[in-house]
Amino acid sequence: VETDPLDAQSALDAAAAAELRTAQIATSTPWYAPWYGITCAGFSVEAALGAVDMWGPQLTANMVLLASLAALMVTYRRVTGVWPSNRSGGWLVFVEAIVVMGGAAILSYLVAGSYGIGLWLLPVAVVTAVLMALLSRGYGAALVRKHSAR
Amino acid sequence: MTAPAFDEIIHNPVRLRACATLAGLDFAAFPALRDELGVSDSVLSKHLATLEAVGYVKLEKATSEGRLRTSVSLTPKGRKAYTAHVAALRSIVGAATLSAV
Repeated sequence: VETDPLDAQSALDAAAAAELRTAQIATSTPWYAPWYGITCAGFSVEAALGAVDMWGPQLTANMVLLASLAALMVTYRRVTGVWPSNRSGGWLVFVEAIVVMGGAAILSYLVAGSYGIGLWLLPVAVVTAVLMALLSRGYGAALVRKHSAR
Repeated sequence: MTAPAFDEIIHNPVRLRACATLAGLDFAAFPALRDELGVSDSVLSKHLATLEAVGYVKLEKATSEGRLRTSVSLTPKGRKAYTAHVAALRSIVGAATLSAV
C-alpha cells in the first residue's frame, strides 16, 4: 500500500487527538468522584451495622448503596454517552479500590464488634470517601495524561 | 507488541477516528460517537456498517424509555486491526524520518 508519510503522520495525529478527546469526555464529570467516594464509604458503615447485628438497618443501607452505585453508572453513561474500557489501566484502580474499601469495611466490622457503633465511624467513612474519590480522580487524570503525552 | 498491518478499511479518516474513539472504551452511544466525529447519522451509519461487515465493530440496539438506543463497541478483531494499523502508520513515518537523516 502506497501511503505518503505526511498522510500517515496526519492520520496518526487525528487518531491521537480522537483518543485524547475520548479520555477527556470519559473524565468530564466532576461529580463522579465524590458520588463514588461517598457511596463506597457507605459500605464501611454497612459493615459496622452488620457487626452489631442491626440487620434491618444493614439491609436498608445495602439496598441504598447498591441503588446509588447503579444510579451513578446510569447517570454517567447518560451524561457522557461512553463507558471507559478496563484496558485503559482500570484493573489496577479496581484492585486498589477493593483494598481500600475492603480494608475500611473489615476495620469497621472489627471495631464495631468490639466497641459498638460510635463516632469513630465518622472519620473511617470520611477517609474512605476521600481515598476512593482520589483514586477515581487519579485514574481519570492518568488516562488524560497518557493520551496527552503522545 | 502488535505487528504493523496497514488496513485500508480503517484508514478512511472517519473510520480511523471512530476506531480511535472506541479504542479506549467498552462502548459509546451512537449519538455520542456521531457528535464526537462531527458527522451526520447517515454518514456514521454507513461507516459503521463498513466496519461491522468486516467484524471490527459491534452494534447493539436496546429499547430504553420507549426509544431505540444503539451502542457501538470495537470487537477484539477491530481492536487488533486498529492497533496494527497505527503501528503501520508509525513505521511509515519512522521509515520516512530515517531516510531523511
